[in-house]
Amino acid sequence: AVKAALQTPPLGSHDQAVKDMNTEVVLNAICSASDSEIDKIVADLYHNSSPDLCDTLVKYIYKGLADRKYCGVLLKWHASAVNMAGLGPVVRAMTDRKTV
Amino acid sequence: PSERASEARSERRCARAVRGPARGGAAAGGARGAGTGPASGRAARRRARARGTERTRSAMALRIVNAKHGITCHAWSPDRKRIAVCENSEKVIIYLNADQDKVNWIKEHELAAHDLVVSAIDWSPVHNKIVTCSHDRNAFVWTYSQGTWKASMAILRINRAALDVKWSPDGSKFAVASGAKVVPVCHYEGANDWWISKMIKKHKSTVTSVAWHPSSQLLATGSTDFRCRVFSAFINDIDHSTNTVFGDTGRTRFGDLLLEFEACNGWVEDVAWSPSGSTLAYIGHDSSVNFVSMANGSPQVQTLKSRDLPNSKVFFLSDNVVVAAGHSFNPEIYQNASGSWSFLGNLNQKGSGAGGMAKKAVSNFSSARNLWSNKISRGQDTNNGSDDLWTLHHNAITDLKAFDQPQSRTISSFSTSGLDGRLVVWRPADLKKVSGLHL
Repeated sequence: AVKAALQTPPLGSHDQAVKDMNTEVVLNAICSASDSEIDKIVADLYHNSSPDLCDTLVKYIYKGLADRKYCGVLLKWHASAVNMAGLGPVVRAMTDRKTV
Repeated sequence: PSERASEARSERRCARAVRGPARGGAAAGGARGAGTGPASGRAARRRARARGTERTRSAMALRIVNAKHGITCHAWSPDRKRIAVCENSEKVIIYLNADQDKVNWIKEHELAAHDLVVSAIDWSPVHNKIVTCSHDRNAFVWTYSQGTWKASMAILRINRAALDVKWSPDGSKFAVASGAKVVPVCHYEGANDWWISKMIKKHKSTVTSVAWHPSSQLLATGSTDFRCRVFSAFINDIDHSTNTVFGDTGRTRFGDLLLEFEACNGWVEDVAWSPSGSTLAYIGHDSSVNFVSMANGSPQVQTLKSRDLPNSKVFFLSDNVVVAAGHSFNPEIYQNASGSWSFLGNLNQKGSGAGGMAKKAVSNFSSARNLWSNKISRGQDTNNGSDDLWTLHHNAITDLKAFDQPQSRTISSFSTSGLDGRLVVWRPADLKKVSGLHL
C-alpha cells in the first residue's frame, strides 16, 4: 500500500489541495504499517523498486514532520530509510525545488 | 619491528580517541592537535619509522598541513616537488619537498597579494605560472624569476568574489568563475604586459566552477542556476581553430553558448572533461553525478544519484573512470562500462587497514572516555564506534588535484585536501582496493 501511494507524487503541481490530499493518503499508508514491517517495506522499496521511491518517501517523511503529524512513527521511518538509502535522499529532499 | 609498528598504531589510536569527541568542531580538535606540536612531531617520526617497517604502508601518504585552519585549495608544481596551499587565509604558501613526508616539508615562499581568502589556485605545467583568485574579486598571475614569485594582477572587471580559476591546457588563457554571473577569460597581452579579460555572460546566477576542454577552446561552466553550460572560448588572435565534437571551433564566436544541461536539481558544484574531451561530468548539490557523452553527435545525459552527501569536486582519472569527493569525506569512484556509468565504490574502505587509525581504542580508559563523550555529545548509549571517523579525511574535501606527471593520459594517483587541514595523496595501490576498477 505504501508503494502504491508513493508511485505518483504531485511534484511541481501548483494546486495546494491536491498536494494536501496526496500527503494525507501517503501518511495514512505509512502510519498503518506496524513497527516491525517498517524495515521490510523500506528494504523492498530500495532494492526492488527504484531508489527514486525512497527519495519520495523521505520527502513525505519531512513534509509530515513539518506538519507535526505522526512524528513518532515518522522518525522510525526516517531512521530506517537513512539506514537503507543513506543521506542522499535527505539532501535531495532539501534541495529539490519541486516539493511534494 | 612488528611490535614497534603495533605500538605506534596504538599510540595513534589513543591520540585519535583524544581528538575524537571534538568531531563537529574542527577548530577545537585542531587546537588540541596544534597545541601538542612537539609531541605530534615525535609521533609523526615514530609513525614514519613504523611506516618503514610495514609492508604496503606507502600506499597512502597522509600529510596534515595545518589542522587548525583547514585547506581551501592546493596545487602541485609540474615536477610535483612543490605544493602551493591556501590554509583558509589570504596567503598562499609554497612548500618544498612536497613529495616526501610532511616532516620534511620546508616553507619556501609566501604569496601574499590578496585581501580575502584565496578560493582557488592553479599551477600550469606549460609555463610554470601560478594563478590565484580570491573572494576579493581579484586574480593574480605569479611568475617565478630570480628566486621569488612576482605577482601581476589580472584585470577581471568583476564586482563579486571569484570562486574558481583554471589554466587552459595549453597555458595561454585562464578562466575565472565568479559570483558576478560572468566568466572572465584572460589572456596575455604583450603590448601592455598585462592579462586582459573577455567576458562570457549568459549565466543567471553565480558560476561555481569552470573546466577547459583539452583543446583549450571550449569551456564548461557549472552554476548555481542548476545548469551546466558549454561555451566557446575561441579567441581570434590566440587560438587556431580545431575540430572538436562540436564542429570547427573557428566557426564559433567567443562566448557562444553551445550546450546547456539542466539535469540537476541542485547547484552545480563542479564540472570536468574527460582526457579525450568526449565526455563531460558535472556534480550537483542534490548528491548527483551527471555524465554527458557526446559520442553519438547529440549529447546524452546520464544521472546517477548518490547515497551520500553531495560532492564538491569531480575529476576524470581516465576516459572511463571518474572520482568525485566532497562532503561525505570519502572519494567515490564511478566507472563507465560499455556505455553506461555506475558507482563502483568509495576509495576509503572501512577496516581495510589503509588508515591504520580505523581500529577502535582497545584500552579501557579510552573506551570508557568514548562512551561518556558519546553520551554527552551525541546522545548515544553504546560505543559501537559506527559513527567514529574512520575515514582519512575528518571534514569535507575541498579540492582534488592530479598527482601523476602532467602529461600522463590516465591518472592513477591524485591528492585531496580538506577542511580538516589534511592533504591525502591516493596512490594506485588504493585504487586497486576498489573492486572492479579498470583504469
